[in-house]
Amino acid sequence: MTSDCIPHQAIAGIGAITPLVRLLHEESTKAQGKAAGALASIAMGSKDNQTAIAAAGGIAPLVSLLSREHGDEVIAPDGF
Amino acid sequence: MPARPLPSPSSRATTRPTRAPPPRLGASHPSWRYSKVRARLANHADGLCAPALHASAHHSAPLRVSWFEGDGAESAKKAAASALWSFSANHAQNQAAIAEAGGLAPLVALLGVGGAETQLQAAGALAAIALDNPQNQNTIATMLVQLLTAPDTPTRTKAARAISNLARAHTSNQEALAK
Repeated sequence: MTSDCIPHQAIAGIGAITPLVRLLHEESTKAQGKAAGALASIAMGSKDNQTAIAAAGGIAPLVSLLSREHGDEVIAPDGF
Repeated sequence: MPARPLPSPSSRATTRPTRAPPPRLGASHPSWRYSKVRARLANHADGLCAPALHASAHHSAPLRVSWFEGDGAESAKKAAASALWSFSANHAQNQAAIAEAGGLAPLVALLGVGGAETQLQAAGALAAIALDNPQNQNTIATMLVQLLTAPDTPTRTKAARAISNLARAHTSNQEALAK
């Protein structure tokens, strides 16, 4: 079963919105980007989910993300 | 790893019959338990790319490594614009909420910079946020006109590109921008 087979209402119904919004606050832009992509899919065509994501505080971190200047960087481990 | 030959039925019968036979693959080594996990990780690793070095090895500062393909910030901005587009489509309350959260200015800024795909998502988001919302239309148009009358040519050029993208995103923007 691929993710395409799971209706977005079902994903929202199992409580995905809150952890995805939490993921938007992570340091990693990779995590933020993936969370934003998932929320975009969940909201698409579903008024209930659009409302739920806004109520969960999803808008403000996305607005911040629009102005983010730097991607993920880590210090390489010794011997890399 | 070549599969170990199956024990013959007779030899299995001599072992404890109530017990499930051990997994064949790698069963000779205790690490067989982890082979499946490793195989799964290997599948996921296909989606990752080799670290890209941002600094030369002889540099005295700690080596900084970007682990992800392309520009992570650019990709995240594109996803954020896409999400805001999705949130605001035919949703008056979210259209207003995104404007109140200060989302219009960075979306307008993205229209003139960044990759073509990011510009497209930003234009789509702004079109959705402005649709049937005169206040947001006015704010966006004002921002664009300010950019268009900026003292420096690069900014004016970006503004022109932004207007072009936005007008293309939705026909209703053409009317708002022409006013």
